[in-house]
Amino acid sequence: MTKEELYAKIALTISNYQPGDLMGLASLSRLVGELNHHFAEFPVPKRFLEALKAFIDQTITSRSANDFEETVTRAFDMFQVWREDLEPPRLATIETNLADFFKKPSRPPTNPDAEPTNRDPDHELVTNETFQLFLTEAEERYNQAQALLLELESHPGATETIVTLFRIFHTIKGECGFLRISTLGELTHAIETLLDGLRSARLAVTVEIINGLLGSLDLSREILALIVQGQTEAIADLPLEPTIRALGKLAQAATSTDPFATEAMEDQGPALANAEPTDRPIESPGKETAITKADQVVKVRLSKINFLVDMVGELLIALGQVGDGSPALAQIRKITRTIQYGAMELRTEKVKHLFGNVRRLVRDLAQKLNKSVRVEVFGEDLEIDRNLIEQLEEPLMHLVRNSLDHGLESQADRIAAGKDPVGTLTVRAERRGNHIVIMVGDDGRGLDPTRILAKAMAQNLVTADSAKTMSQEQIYNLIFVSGFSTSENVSHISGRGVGMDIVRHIVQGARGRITIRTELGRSTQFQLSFPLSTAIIEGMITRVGPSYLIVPITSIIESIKVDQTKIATVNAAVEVITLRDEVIPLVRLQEVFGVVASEPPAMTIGVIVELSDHRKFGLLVDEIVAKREVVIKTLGPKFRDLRGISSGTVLAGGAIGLVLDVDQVIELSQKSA
Amino acid sequence: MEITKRKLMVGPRYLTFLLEFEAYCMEILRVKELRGMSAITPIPQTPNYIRGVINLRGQIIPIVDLRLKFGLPFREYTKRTSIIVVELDVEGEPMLMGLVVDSIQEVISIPDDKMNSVPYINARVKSEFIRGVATTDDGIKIVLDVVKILSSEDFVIVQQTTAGSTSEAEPQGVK
Repeated sequence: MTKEELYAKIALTISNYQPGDLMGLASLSRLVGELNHHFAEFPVPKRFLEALKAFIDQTITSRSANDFEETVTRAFDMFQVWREDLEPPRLATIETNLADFFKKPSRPPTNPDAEPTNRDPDHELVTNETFQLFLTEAEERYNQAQALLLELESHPGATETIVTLFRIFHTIKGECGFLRISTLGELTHAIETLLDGLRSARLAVTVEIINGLLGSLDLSREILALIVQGQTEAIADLPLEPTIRALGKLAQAATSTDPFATEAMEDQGPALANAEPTDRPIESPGKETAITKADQVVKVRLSKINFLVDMVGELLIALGQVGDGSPALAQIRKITRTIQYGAMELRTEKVKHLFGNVRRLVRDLAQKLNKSVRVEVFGEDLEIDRNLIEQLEEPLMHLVRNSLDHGLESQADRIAAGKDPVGTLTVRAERRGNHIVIMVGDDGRGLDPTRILAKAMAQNLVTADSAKTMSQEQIYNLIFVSGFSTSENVSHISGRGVGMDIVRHIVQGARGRITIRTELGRSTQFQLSFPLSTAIIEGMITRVGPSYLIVPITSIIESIKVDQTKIATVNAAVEVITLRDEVIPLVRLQEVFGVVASEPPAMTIGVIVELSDHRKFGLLVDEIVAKREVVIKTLGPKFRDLRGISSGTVLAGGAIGLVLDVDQVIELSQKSA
Repeated sequence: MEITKRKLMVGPRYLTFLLEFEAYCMEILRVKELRGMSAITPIPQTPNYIRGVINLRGQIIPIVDLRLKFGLPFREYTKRTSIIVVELDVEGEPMLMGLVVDSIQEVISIPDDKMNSVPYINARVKSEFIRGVATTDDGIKIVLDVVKILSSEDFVIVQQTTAGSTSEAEPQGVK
């Protein structure tokens, strides 16, 4: 056959190939072999075709390689570009590509002892199933280690803590060896050596040792993170050597007969003057095993759970499209809702880990700021949705940083004010009805409304006129406005004025609310409240022109029907009504969303809503359609900057409704003069 | 992978469509689906070429009118007006978007050697949106870089406000 005929036949065979088609493979191999005859004079293409034939033959015998088709197609395409009459430089490039093509092994080498020098074992691991498991367990272990280290610092004599810590790192070291992660393995070995010194009582627990161990724990997490992201080259930039050396020095330090050692044990440094409050029970291993026996714990991939939750959500949408009718349908809906809650429970995690990080942050910051702080934690066993925990991490840490930096005073100031020289930071998680409430509070200096107002006016965030009519609550909420900050010197820990605004943004993004309770000179409390089921909300479906706008029930106080004549105009611009002695400003959603009015409203219909800062407004619509549970569908990252609309939903009949964010809607309405 | 199966020596495949009687084409690899026009829900605060969103079997996807994006006058949608659903990577996640075109023509193969880069084709479409121009048996077709066109989108008009004062930015009307 001529070359061209062979090309055509080969292409046809490839396109007809189905995995497992041995006949096809055999004829492909034969064709490639025949093709090779045409290139007897040309070494590079000849070798390439030989390699290609070998690859095909290998696939015949081992019957694997699911990217076979892709590889062969690519190879063939590449090959066809070759022509003997090409320009030398172009020809050279193509020939180099051909020569290199089959050098990359698509499967690990058959000789297990062969250690290819140019392959980075760290890089291979990311796709390995064993590694995934190691990763999840390592994360848990590091969290546990961190909690234990903090405990050890306040109870330096706790030998069981040291033993557990040693065991944790010993296990990790072993796994590093098995998975051939050399960098982390070396670091863990150094950590283990230091812990061994503590375990054998050759060393005593000192602040330096705890700092060293915590620092190397952070470094370990960093290395893992880089490996996961496939950026193993970046590991070289980490201070691995210096950290290992520092750990080594600590391990060689004083023996227990050293007088400094005993002093170090008693003097825990300025950070923690007292041990942890006794109302927090220390983990007893016996208790835990009892619980595990009663209710087995299984490991499931998060992706499977997410899939289940999403599918149930789809089920609810589909049910919603069926329309009301039989009681059987209502029953099905109820059951489906229950399944939904059940599925979402699968995705929950204890807040313990999140709060553990709070302890760590307080410890580090208190040391840095030279303040004396104790942490009180309540409700760390509460289980909430993983996604929510992830979202909460940043705002929570920022609030804690804020408390330590600005809220809590220095020891001297506290004593002068007659307070306990040790400040208290309280973190609490609890479930209240349909909501999760997370509270972060301190017994520091509280928020000063006068200072806040003064700063806001200086930053032009508030005019003198509006300042007069602001309630205390509204003044406190000014701290959430972007660009606000009351610290004279912007510390690098917090105070740049961007943090609080982001905190509120994230909280609202999770459909939550944040409220402030404070007493000047005594305390400050931030309360974050989130609805339990974030994917399904109950909303009032309204129609404004041709658009369906949905107002979340949680924001609605009541619905109203008002006579046009009852609407008064204030300041020649703002429409209001009086409801049971309360004057409520009205906002016509038609105007806010620029909807062209098709018919003038006969009756004015609307809903009274309450914002996060407890202001009330009346939203006027064309029609109130129904109160319904809707499944939230995100509009996508491209619409993230939309103001007034938080997400979308699919309504019965397939129409798309837009879910409103009432706070932003009011904001929008006040922008259009 | 359906495409690779049929791929003979002829070259990568492109979907051709019409905008104001001019033929354009785009790589078929990114095309997930072709649909006729369906009800579009408008979204406020978006530029005019973002028509809104549609319901694609339960998923809400944004719709971009290519005519408006390229500055052509808006044309009422007819039976032939179609939506090309493409998949893009946005912040690492695959995302679907729909493009409104006057009509869809066919799928053709354009071998790489028939693709030419052109310094200037017409002022209408920005040169960075054009991957090249292809000479085919049916004439010259402009090959668009859809990823570039859609990635450079700012879907939301962000209101600029000076702190505290009211600004006169109007929200987008319903189109």
